[in-house]
Amino acid sequence: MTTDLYTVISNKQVAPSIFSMTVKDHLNLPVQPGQFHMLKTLAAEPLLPRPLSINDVENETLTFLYEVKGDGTKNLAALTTGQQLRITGPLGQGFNIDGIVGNARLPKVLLVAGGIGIAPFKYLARSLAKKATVSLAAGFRSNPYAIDDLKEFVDDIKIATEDGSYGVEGRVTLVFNPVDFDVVIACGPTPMMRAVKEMCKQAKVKCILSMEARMACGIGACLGCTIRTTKGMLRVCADGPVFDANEVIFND
Amino acid sequence: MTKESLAQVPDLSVDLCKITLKNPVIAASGTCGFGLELMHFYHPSVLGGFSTKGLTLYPRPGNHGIRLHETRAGLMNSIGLQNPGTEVFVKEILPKIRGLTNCLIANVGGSDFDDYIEAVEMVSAADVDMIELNISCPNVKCGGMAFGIRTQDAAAIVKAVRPACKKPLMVKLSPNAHDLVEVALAVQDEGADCLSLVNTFSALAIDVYTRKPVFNNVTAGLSGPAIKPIALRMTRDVAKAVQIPVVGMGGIETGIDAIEFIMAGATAVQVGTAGMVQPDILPKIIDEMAQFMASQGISNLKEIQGII
Repeated sequence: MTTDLYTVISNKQVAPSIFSMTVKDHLNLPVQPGQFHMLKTLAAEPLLPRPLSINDVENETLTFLYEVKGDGTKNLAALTTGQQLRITGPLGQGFNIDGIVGNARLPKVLLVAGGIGIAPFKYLARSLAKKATVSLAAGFRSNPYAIDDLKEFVDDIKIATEDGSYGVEGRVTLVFNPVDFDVVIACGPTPMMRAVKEMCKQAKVKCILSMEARMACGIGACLGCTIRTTKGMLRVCADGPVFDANEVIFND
Repeated sequence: MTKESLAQVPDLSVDLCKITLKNPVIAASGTCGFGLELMHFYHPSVLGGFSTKGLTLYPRPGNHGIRLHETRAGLMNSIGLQNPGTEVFVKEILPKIRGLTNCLIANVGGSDFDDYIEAVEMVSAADVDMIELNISCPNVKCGGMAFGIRTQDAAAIVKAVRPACKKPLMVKLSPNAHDLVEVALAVQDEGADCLSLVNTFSALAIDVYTRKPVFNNVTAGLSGPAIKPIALRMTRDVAKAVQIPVVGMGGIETGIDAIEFIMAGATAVQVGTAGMVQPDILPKIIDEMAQFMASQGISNLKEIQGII
């Protein structure tokens, strides 16, 4: 990991409030799928950088898919080609591809995305391609996004929208059954993560979660982003963001 | 390098309780873990020193719920002294970090007199260079700040801990003290070797949609550039009043900010929040101090310390 100024190659809106930013990866550090970076524009405010998972790594570029939610992501969305921003990373423990694939020949892996939780799955699916049979179940409030990006790497896509505008009407948990898979990997809002964990537990299927938390340092020093786990309070930034679902304790 | 250019290199070294720091910039407790995380960005030996995450006699899981909240030019935190306890620190962590700095400051807190005394005794007997006594953590019940608010409580805890402390004793003061200068003087009288100030300001944030405080503990500690002018004033107030060295902190982001604290009377400074905004900022602050000194013809920080 390192911290440096990066140059924006492109930064475009792909759906309402959803942006995709590609920067020149001049350092070309090895990045695991599921890892994240801390991004901050050169503006003084807001103070802290924002943690964004890596969407894709290709041809000496890094791509981040992000939702504009507050001042930090609003600043990021305003960046234009050629502008610089500070990026620290890659950070955290990403997906362990060998662990996911295991000894099985082409294991069946399901990726479950809730909204912007789809962000880390492009690079993950790319990394799993040819090693596993990858399916995607993606849930959105309304219009889906970032699906076309994944088509190249996944064998099957099921979509749910809460307003029924596309695919199955309702939550993403309606469109899959964990027993059909060897491993389920989820990234999305907490209620979805809790539900997916529970479904996999019932089905006795291995479940891996990529967690999100408010962060300050992003490097494991400040203990601001800890979550409850069976191993005590663990740091999402340094011990995660990828956790075995059995370890994560969801607060009631 | 020629003799002439050597002569122009400003001397950033400072003496703090008979320890020579190569420069006055210390990583603040709770913002640099146990120093290991810094190594991804620079070797901690380039700093004047670092202060560990606050240690307590027994392990603490820390607070539940939201631990961080950003404000204008500031950061509120309520970590709650999550730490592995003094025994794990001494046996497992200290051997890994001892070589990282020649000024390893162990920050120690507690919830009652016995806890404080036992923790200080254990940690100060180990191979650390200094103890920073935390009587100012605002985020745990009786976890420190209770001792840093009223003068008689601050004096009593330092008096109790002093005989157990085998290393120089730095006492970290709370800006929430009823009378900070009075606390500083009382702590000095009870045998503190130096002071560090300020810890975070007790502060409040409200989620108007849930109609609840953002933090489970209602209040949390505010740090960052928002507090700098107040911290600077407090550093000067205390430095003017006491005879022991003062380590100033609160919102330092640049070398110029650090120079301000030196001019306000600080012997050294600590940097916390800025290191979380940009992980390699502390070495940059040191470079900026050197550049400022060179540009102003200052060869030693003593020339400007306490001039305001």
